[in-house]
Amino acid sequence: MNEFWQQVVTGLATGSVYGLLALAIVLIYRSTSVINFAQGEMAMFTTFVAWSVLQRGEYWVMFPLVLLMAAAFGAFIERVVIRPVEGAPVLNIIIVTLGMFAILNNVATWRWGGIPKGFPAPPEVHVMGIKFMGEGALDIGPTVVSYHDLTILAFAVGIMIALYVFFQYTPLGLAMRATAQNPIASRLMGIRVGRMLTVGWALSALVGAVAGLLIAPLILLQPPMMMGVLLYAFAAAVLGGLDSPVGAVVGGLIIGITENLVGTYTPKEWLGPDMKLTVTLMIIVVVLLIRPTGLFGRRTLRRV
Amino acid sequence: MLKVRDLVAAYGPIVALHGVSLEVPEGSIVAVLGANGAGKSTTLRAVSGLLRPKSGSIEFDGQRIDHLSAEQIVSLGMSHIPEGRQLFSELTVLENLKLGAYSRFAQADGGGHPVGREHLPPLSRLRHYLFQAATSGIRDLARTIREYRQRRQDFESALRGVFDYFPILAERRGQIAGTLSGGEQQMLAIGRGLMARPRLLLLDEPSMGLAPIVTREIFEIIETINRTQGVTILLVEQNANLALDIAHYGYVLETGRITLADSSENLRKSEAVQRSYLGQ
Amino acid sequence: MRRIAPPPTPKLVVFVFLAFFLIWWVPFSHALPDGFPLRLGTYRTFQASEIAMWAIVALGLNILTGYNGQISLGHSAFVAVGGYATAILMVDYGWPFWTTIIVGGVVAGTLGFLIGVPALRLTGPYLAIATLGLALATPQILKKYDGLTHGTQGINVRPEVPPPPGFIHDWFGISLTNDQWIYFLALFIALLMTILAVNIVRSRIGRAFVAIRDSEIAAQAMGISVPRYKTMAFAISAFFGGIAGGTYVQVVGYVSPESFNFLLSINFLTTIVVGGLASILGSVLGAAGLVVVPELPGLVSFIPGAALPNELSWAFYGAALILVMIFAPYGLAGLFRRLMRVRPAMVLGGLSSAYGRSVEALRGARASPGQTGAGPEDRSSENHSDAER
Repeated sequence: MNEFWQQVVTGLATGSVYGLLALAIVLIYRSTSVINFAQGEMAMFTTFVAWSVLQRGEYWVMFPLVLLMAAAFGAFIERVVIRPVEGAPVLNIIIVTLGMFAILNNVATWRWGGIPKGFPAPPEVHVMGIKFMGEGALDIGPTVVSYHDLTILAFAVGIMIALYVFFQYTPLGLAMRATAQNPIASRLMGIRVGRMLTVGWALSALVGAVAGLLIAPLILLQPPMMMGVLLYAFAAAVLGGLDSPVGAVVGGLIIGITENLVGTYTPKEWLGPDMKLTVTLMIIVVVLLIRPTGLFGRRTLRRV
Repeated sequence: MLKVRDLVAAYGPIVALHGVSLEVPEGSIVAVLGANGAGKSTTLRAVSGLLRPKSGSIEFDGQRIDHLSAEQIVSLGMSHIPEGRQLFSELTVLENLKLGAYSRFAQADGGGHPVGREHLPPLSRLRHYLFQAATSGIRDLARTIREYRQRRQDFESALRGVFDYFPILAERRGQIAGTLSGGEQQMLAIGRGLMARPRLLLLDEPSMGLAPIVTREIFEIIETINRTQGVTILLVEQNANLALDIAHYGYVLETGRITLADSSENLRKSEAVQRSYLGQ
Repeated sequence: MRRIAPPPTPKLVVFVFLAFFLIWWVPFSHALPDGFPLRLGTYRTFQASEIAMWAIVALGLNILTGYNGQISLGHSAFVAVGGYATAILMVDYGWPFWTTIIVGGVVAGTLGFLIGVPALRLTGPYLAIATLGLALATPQILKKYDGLTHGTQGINVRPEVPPPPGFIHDWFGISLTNDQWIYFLALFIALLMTILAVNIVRSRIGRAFVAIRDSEIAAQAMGISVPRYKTMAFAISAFFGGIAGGTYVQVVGYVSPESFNFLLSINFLTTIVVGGLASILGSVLGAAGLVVVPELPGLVSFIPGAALPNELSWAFYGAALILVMIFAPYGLAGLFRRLMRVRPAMVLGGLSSAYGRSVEALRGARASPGQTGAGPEDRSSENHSDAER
């Protein structure tokens, strides 16, 4: 039984990694209906930049700086790379994101390739005698979980809540949702549609940057680091519903836990850990068949 | 209040308006009648900034607006309620209304200043937009906290006004807009337009797809809005009867050209109009 | 968007040019003196075979995505199934090639049908990622069930590939190398599949596909059974993939679980979008692009002064992708048609997005006087969705 809970807890940890990146994907999809295949590479890129900054500064100085740079980076990409393909069918824009994937990956390898680098977890912070973040592990009941894993989970849930509140309760969030649904009407409301798109990309790059910063300590900083995560993040986003930040994180957690449980508890001969990805994907497909727009997805099917 | 002169507008190579001129005096209801494809919607689109005219001039309160974008024109006090409503069908009634008031309270581009940053050189513009994009979230939050009370009151009173005209919307304020009936959707569209407290309201075929009783109700409300609040109305309609009932003045548009322009009484009596549009 | 059927590509010119190119130059140019720039050696012949192979997949995928509007990121799975079926039957059971490739196609087609049924429930990005899942799962499944698939070591088919049949030497007096023979084989299969694709696209079935893509509800109202045709589209395009897989077995001579990974699937999608959606020519051009473009940085380095650091060739590829999308939104086929001074076709209907519409709306504000993308007819179909319920 202990084994079970340990698997669940570890699954939550990996799941929040997927969920964080899935949040960024959902952000862009929600405001622009585009699936950004370059999401992982953008996060990887900003993390490398962060690493360079870290060589000269403290972690908590670097953190907000990198977030700001990431937002600017996202806005830049929207204006310069995405805007020119405006009005094109969504597949064209996806190809553009694939092109960006190639460029970012290649440039990062060229500039920072070679030996994988270590990247620190956020250093510990003490509030009222309780330690938050940092190195080391914690015993919770029968399980052991590292502080960093808790950090990731906290960030994932925290950002999810922040995004939910942002979209539901702020004028800008409402305006972004409106723009995604009906750009013509949005213009008639005085909403600057272009601005909304830029903000969407900036926000998404920001969330992706956080994902990158938190994932790097786990898997070593190297150019291919986000590729595997990206696929899981897509799966998480789709499982949870591509336009739901809550779905992204929940989806990620479900995938993390399911993967671990499948790996541990299915018969080795014809399933087992070798097939955990396959089984997880199949479960996702089954869920999608029951709820074709994901667990929390809200996009109603278009009426004629 | 609105002066359109020799307006030429096209969709790519297809010219829709061949030099349209019309005038909408302040406080009046002006109707533009015509068959399908005559160019009525095109006219409204050109006025509200959704469509850039090829030539001609559009003046609103003495100010040339034909080169401005739709977003800018909205903050000048003009609301366009487009053909087919164009609601945010996945948002609630209340959210749609909130968005109607967006131009008044969000002002994410630095206040009701009607002209955007087009006058700045591209690089400064880029820097400006980046900064805006990066900080508008923060600035919105700050502004929200600071001006919350004032905007709240403003908004509430506009909302009350809309609910006075359309009590059914108050009942259904939490409902998803796409699930409303046709009549309710039209009411919501008009209410949304009113939230910006416009001085000029552009209505594109409000009767479309609605049952006669509902349409009559809506037209009565439109007339009331004009009478009690002094909102000027430019109304485009295929249903000439209803339109001429409430309008003071009317234009007839045929394949992109104005063929008749007269007071609504005279238009009613005119044989041409009776034959073509009133079914007599 | 206005949906105007494209005028047919001027085929005669293309065919004549292609016939010369394909039949003489590709396999035989190595007879030209060494160092001659147009000389195509063994490796290039192999690449030509690759183009033929990928063209088959592209044709199939285009039928599904371009003509029928269902996005699939899982076609590497169908190619894998076809390839493995062919390889296993040839190596383990000694079946002759022509039979195995048909079986491979049919098996893949059946899988495609089985996928197509649940796919009915999914749309757009959900379908895309679900099929991506299929592509991800395939290598794992292939590795796991190694009793059948020989697992990670793969299947080496080479010894079984038939050498050029004797009659070619006797009739034409030419002796072909193995590569050239394989090239002609691949070319032959590709030609057959192209003819098949053209026939499908121009038939009632093809028209039904397009109708469904443009508006499922309208198609249904016209009496087209949407589920039937959508699953058919999946089956057909999977069949093409399977045939391509069988061809792969001949061309490459070796299959392993990693030969058919998800990157391949993504490449296929890129291929048809860059080549041109809903276009036979586009599928072929895209396949050519897939093979040729990564080579370009190497070729460019022959021009003095134009040095591209080799390590950046993928960045170059990415930039090329972006540029093509910006300047040729209808793909290479669209460019080609424009070059031939045929009116550019606007057949990409059905795949527009809120994003596309939103920046279309932007365009209305900033475009030069009198030019917007919207037309009054386009608006009304959207508008009436809010009408009286």
